[in-house]
Amino acid sequence: MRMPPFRFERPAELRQALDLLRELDGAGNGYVLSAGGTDLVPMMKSQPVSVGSLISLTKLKALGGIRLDPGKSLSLGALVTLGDLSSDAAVRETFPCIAETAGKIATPQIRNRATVGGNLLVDNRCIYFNQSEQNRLAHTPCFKAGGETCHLVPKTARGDDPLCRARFVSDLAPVLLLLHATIRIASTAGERSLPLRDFHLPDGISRNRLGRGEILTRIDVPLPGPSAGVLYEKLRIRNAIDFPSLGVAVSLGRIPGGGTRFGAALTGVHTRPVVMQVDEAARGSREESVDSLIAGISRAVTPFRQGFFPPDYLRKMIPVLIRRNMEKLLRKA
Amino acid sequence: MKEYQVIGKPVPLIASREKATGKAKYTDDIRLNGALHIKILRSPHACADIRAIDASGALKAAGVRAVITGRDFNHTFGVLPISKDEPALARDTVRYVGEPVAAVAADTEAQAGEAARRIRVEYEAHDPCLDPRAALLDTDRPIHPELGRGNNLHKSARQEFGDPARGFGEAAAVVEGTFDFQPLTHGFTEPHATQVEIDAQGSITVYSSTQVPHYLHRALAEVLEIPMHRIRVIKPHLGGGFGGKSDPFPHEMIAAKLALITGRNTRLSLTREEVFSSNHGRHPTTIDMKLGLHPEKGITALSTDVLIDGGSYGSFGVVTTYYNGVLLHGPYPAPNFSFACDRVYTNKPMCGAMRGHGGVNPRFASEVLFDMACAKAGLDPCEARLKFIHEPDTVTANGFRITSVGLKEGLRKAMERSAWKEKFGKLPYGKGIGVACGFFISGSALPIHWNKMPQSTVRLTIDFDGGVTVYSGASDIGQGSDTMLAQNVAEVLGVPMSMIRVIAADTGLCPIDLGSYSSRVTFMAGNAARNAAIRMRRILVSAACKLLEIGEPRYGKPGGPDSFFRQGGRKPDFDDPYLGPNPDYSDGFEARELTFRPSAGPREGAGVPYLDAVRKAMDGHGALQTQGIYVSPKMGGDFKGAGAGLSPGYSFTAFISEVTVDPGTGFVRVDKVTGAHDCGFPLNPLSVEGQLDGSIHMGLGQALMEAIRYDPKLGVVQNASFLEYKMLSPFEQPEIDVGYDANVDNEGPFGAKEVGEGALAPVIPSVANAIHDAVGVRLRSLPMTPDRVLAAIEAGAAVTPRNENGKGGM
Ligand SMILES: Cc1cc2nc3c(=O)[nH]c(=O)nc-3n(C[C@H](O)[C@H](O)[C@H](O)COP(=O)(O)OP(=O)(O)OC[C@H]3O[C@@H](n4cnc5c(N)ncnc54)[C@H](O)[C@@H]3O)c2cc1C
Ligand code: SF4
Repeated sequence: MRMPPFRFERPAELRQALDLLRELDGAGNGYVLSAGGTDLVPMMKSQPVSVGSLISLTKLKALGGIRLDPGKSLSLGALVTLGDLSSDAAVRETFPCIAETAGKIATPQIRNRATVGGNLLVDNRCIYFNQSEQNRLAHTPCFKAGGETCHLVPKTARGDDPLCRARFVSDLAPVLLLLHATIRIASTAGERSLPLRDFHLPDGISRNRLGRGEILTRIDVPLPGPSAGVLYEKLRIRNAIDFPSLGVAVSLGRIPGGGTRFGAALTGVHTRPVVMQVDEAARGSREESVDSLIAGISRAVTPFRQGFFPPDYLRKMIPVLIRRNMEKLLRKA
Repeated sequence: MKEYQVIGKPVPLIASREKATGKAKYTDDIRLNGALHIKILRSPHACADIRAIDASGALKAAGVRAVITGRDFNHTFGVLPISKDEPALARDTVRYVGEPVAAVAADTEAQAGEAARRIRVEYEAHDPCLDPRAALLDTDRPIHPELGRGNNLHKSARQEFGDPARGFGEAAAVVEGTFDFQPLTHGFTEPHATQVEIDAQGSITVYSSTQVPHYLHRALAEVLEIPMHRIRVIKPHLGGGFGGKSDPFPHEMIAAKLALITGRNTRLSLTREEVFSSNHGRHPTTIDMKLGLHPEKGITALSTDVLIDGGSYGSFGVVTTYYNGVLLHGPYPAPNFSFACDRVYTNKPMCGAMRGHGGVNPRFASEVLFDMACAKAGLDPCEARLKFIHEPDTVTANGFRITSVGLKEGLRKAMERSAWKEKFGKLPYGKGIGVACGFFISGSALPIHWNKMPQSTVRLTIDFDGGVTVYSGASDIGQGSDTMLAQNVAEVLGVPMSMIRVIAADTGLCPIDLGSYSSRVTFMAGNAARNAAIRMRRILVSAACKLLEIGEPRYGKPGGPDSFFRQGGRKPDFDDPYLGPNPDYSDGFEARELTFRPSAGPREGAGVPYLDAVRKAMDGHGALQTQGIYVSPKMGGDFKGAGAGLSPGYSFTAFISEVTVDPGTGFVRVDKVTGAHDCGFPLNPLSVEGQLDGSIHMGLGQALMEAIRYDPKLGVVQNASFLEYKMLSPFEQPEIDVGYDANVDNEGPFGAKEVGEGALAPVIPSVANAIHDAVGVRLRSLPMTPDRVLAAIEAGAAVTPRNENGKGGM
């Protein structure tokens, strides 16, 4: 597999990079941003058309480093590699769940290059799209490939709804969502910041609110996190390499003024990550709260046959994994 | 037991250093002068007529030297002479997604790819036949109309021995079930590659990643319509085969044709996706099997009805059809036996031989049923197996000659090491232990192309420098056969491994050998190498006698096994060109550390240096050269299909697997595999362990996760990558403790039998049986994925009462 030729740029400063993006956009030239390139490069290899320019972000210092501001926040540069994230002492100390989750992604070789920013921006996946050119020749192009149809949900099932159901697969997103992370995005107009929970979109093509000319710079996680912490369980057939078939994060915390807050977030079973929290009702029981959390979050996702497991099995696993991990947290609390 | 010098010692494979340092040249690493790059245009349809091909755009494209289509070939081919049904390039119809339709040779790879995109093919697409059951129905569009059938049946095999009905009547427990199996790929590391070098006379040298240089050589001559002597096939280092490189392939014909047309060297390498669409992997299979067991008599009857989905072409399919039945004649006798198997064509990439060829799926069915029958009859599954494993020197119902059997002791030890008695039926819910056995051929006794040539010939030369060169047609495909040949020769001649050079798998230099498949190489090429070395030893010993001024040893007919079971009634004869299998070569000399010493007589202990003996032997004679051959003994019955599965030796295996099943998610973890494999005398324990670990790894892949997924309407492979096609990662590989105690086979070289394939099959049912012990459910479909295990537990919970461990009944 050879990829079509492209232009390569590696700006040294964030400002330079943002100017370059604006210039390319102004001239109507295509570009893609690359951090570790572990998601991007396989995609480029299977595409018949050139991406135009590939802008490597790897020199941008502003996007690097793990900064701990005790009692306030942990700030992760978008370029921090998953390898570093999984072994960093400050991360292990403050949010062991982030380190552990990062360590479950892909393989050691990939984690040495893959970045946390790239992980939140990882492309949605679908068995009809993540294929070689040869394979896609057997199908007509789908929405995500610029066509007029969807093979996963054919027209009869979807009506006129043109959404792409390619699934969201980042392992870190559900954990960071339960930790109330915010992200910082830079453009020539300045820097903006938004809660991670507002970032992802329910469409496998547009995926998120990162605009043209924008670069994700940092991810900030407020301290302290939920009192009993966050646990992440990744369901996959092999304990290496594989994307999550289903990823379940749960959290357990205290509500200011008393009571327990149960949280859960899912990845792998919908077009975007889904997060939900339930506060223990004044007179309700723990079980009822967890039940309503499970019911609510299950309603919010639609798994399709997009990978190894059949969707009804994945549906069945959502309550199993939420309950198991919640029990672990409860025992800890 | 005799003390050997290199045999039985852990010897690192002779190419291991080169491979580990990246020096070894695989086919794709070869740099031929100015080679043209080839790109194959493949069909996007599973079933279509080709109306027209317009290659004018491609021919005008930059750098293009030639474009070929199906019209450029007059002959189809196939590894078996009875099903030469595959074209190099599709002519009028395409039969699977990915079938080669046209090919471009251009100066660069990018140019070839670009030009291939400009070829316009006009297809008339039809509904593909993808379901093997539907393939049995009448149709007016059969996939292979040339067979003159109104349906898509390819091959039917039927055999019956004894009286199955009476046998079932005698059984204490009769069990039956339907078992279902998915298509699998071999998963070798190196994708197929071929390069062709053409000389000024138009002779071609084909470098190819193949297990079968000899069959490729024959097929090239036929398809290209050139005499065989203008072809030379060389297999460079090879990155795994497992049966996936044991056929001649279209890309090999294409590369050679384009070299002949352009007069230029050519090269091509398949992508992993192209490997998936070339397939030749394990057949999707459905088996209906019934087994009757008696506590004293063993298997009283076994009947099986099999449907295998062959995909679009024949490949090894006729053999697979038979192997699905005949390999059930072990490891236990089954006197009353009936078997029916149909292989059908469908519009999918063809299936063929894959490690454990044809024996893996039926083994799963029979070993699960054996377990069920034990449960029903109240027998301990290990004890019952121990009791009924074939006795040595017996004949099966279908005429297999069972010679050495070294499994009983091994299984007994494995029971002890795994604490079987303390665990079986006694572990807590979710933990389980299960057993299964198997057996496999050490080479097929009958050649694919009917002839009376020996199955294997090996030539040895020694020249002035004393270095020994072994010429063998056998393909080292990573399994270590070159090392095995060198070990046999080193042992006989008493020279170190470092003085032996193996030149193998080059049809221009090496004597004919049929190739690396059916676990034949150690038994057959090993014997031939050993015989060539014995002949060489005689020359050197004779020279040593001259130097010592003593009389030469008298070689008569050495004593040897003379029963029917040994060598088919032939005795080894040192005056005959064929020394027989594994002949004793004691000649009164000790050859070790480069010295020949008489072990008795007037000059006892006096040493002749090896090099002196070589020089003396060369005086007035020149370079030394000998040849050894292997010929299978005559055996087998006289009925249709009697030749299938006949082998001069059979390996035996038993595995005891321990699993943890998560009843909440259905996930199965295989914690440990304890077992025994009878490979006769282990020539190289390092290789034996490598093969056993690999067989378990591969078997567990089929057990737990592997399956090629086809789009149910279009027939296109949906998971043609190692990310989406799931093979075990190192994390899923269990702890392994498999014994392979030396059990000398009289006919294998130094007593060896096969170890490459047989051990794969039984690990799968051992896991299924362990799952039953853990959570009380019987799984009959592979792979045993978490969703299926969970569904079985949920269904089982509804119907099966639990015993005190919470475990189900049968
Ligand atoms: C075999 C394999 C297995 C994998 N397994 C997993 C898995 O188990 N779990 C998982 O979550 N992921 C997995 N991945 C996906 C991927 O490797 C990771 O998500 C990784 O973190 C992506 O980071 P990257 O820096 O390599 O991203 P890149 O490939 O560089 O970029 C990914 C996307 O993000 C954009 N981007 C990256 N950084 C920025 C930025 N700072 N600002 C704006 N846009 C940016 C890029 O333009 C691109 O669209 C796997 C990938 C492979 C090849
Ligand atoms: S879900 Fe998206 S990627 Fe998949 S087929 Fe539909 S449009 Fe294409």
